[in-house]
Amino acid sequence: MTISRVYIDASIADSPRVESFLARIHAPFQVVEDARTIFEAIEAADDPIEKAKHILYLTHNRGAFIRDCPGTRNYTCCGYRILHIGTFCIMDCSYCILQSYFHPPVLQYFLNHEDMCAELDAMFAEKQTVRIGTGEFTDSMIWELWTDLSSSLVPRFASQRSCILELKTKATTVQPLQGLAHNRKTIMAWSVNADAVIRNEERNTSSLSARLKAAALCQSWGYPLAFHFDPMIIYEGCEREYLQAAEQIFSAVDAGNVVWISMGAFRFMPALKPIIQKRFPASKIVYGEFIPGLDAKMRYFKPLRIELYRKLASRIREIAPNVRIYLCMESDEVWEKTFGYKPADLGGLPFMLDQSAREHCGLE
Amino acid sequence: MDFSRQRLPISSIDDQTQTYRISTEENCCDLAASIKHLGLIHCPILIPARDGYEIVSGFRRIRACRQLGWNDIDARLLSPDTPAIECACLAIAENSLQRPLNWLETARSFELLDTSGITSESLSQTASVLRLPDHPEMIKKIRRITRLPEHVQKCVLNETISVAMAQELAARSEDEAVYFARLFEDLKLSLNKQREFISLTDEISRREEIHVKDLLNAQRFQEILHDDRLDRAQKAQQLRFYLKQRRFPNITRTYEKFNEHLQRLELTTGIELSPPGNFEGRHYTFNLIFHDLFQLKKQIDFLNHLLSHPDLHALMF
Repeated sequence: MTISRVYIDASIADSPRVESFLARIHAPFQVVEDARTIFEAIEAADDPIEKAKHILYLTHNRGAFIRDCPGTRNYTCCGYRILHIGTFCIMDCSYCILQSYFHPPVLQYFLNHEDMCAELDAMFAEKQTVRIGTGEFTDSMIWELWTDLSSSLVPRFASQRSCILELKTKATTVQPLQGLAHNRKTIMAWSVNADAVIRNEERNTSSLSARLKAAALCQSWGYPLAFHFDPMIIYEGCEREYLQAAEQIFSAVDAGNVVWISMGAFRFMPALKPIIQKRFPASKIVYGEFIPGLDAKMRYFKPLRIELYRKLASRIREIAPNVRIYLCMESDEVWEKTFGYKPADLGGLPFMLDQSAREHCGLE
Repeated sequence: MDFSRQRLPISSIDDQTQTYRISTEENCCDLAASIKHLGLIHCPILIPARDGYEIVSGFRRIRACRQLGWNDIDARLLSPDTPAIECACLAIAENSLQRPLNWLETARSFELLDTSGITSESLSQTASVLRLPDHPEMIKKIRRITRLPEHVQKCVLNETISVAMAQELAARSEDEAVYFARLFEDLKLSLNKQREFISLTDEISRREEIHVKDLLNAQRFQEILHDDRLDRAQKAQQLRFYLKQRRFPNITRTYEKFNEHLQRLELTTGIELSPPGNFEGRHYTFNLIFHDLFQLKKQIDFLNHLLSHPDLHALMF
């Protein structure tokens, strides 16, 4: 995936970070006064989403860097926080919510790191346990190609003891993490899936074995790990493949070094369906048995989700009984039918994950 | 526009070439009766062709005159070098300025402008002058209609199929478009139901990796369609259920099971039980309808008795 043009927000054009970025990206660039130039370039394309993956906008974040994860009522949220470093992604997954989340989607990276650091320092000063990640509106690691973001963030988190940073990715560009002082305050997390899903639905991403190899490398450098089975796709034979993926994980990494594993079945806003149908005509993922959920997103019919969760959770339990497994945005009923308990029984999901982070990452 | 008014032998007029035909009306009996009574008030427009004259406007009038046994007819004759686009505009204006055109006639008008070499820049403006829809997106949609198979066009004309549905059928193979048109014609489905049928069949075909045609020719589908004991509405309902069951097998099975248990509960009059919407939430709803306290008490007693019913436990899976 190549960047064909870089647009630079005139207000940050003089920043040394821009110079450093351009020296590594080798793409034609243009300084713009207004983001509308980028919107127009993207929207003029036949496939604006594909186009947006090739145009990069270097700008500054005009809003907050630290945000609450947009959970919804009726489903249990983990109380995660987002470190908003940029938006969109150069990989091309059929199910990606970002395709319909931004209008139009723009691959943008924020360079006002002074503001970001100030917000982080304020967060650290509160000395509250916080789990925060950069992989919500973008992939955490794609930016390593052109920036030294991790080299800046990882040591910053290493120097405090209340918050952990989760870098969530499908990429394998982990080399920049080697040798960083992380003090186990950065969790390296991979989004994982069944082989067939990776092959058919995750364009421009690395294979499961490549991701696990990168995870093993990070483990060897002392980083704690996490894995996210999200989105889980239901198709004939999917259970066997998900179980195999779980087995592959634990043959690659040490179960004792895994902070958590999440499971989340595919869910999407109805607006995403025509986008997938148009951009991924061979994909069958939108033809599952979906119903409108209580948050207006389409979700697999509940008994189907429960069945898949139970099987995968049970296999993970067999291999790694002490690893914390949780469900992303599910109801108490689904929790109970999957695990035999609901989060409140163990103090609530945020508490459960905080506890796991404390155990693995040495948080106070 | 320069015409010369001439009286011409009717046999010299070529009525087989339909290049400029706009009207979809075939019947000319009423017109023949009117011409017999009042004479030909408005003369057809012709243009010299290789062997005689081609009709630009007045197809039905000429046919009516033929039916009346006329040998000659008064006509407005265009110069042989009249540009095709001018002939096209005349043919359209003769219809569109007299009466509202139906969708097929509108589509034919755009097709005619197109084949006559109109430029895309002047299309909207010309359309506006001719009182045709002039919005480019609308024009694009209407033009697709002329590319539909004849049977589907007829369905648009008799309003079995809306223009919106015609657009959707235009994106399909000819066979499929005709099949759906016949199905909608037979079952007299509303636009929403038509859309549901198409969406269900499409999604089943993607899910099961089969052709839409094979799905529609499936034994069960055909059995319902040709079951003489069923009326139209029953057929539509059963076909819809068949498709839903195939598209959402687990969901329909769950509803069926729920209903089986529900029937075994033998709820008394005035009590209804509904599952959570799509079985996603946890809220089951009892709806009690009563007209006095005595009936309410009876219903409450019944509900108390119901609490130990195994089917109530089973349906709350």
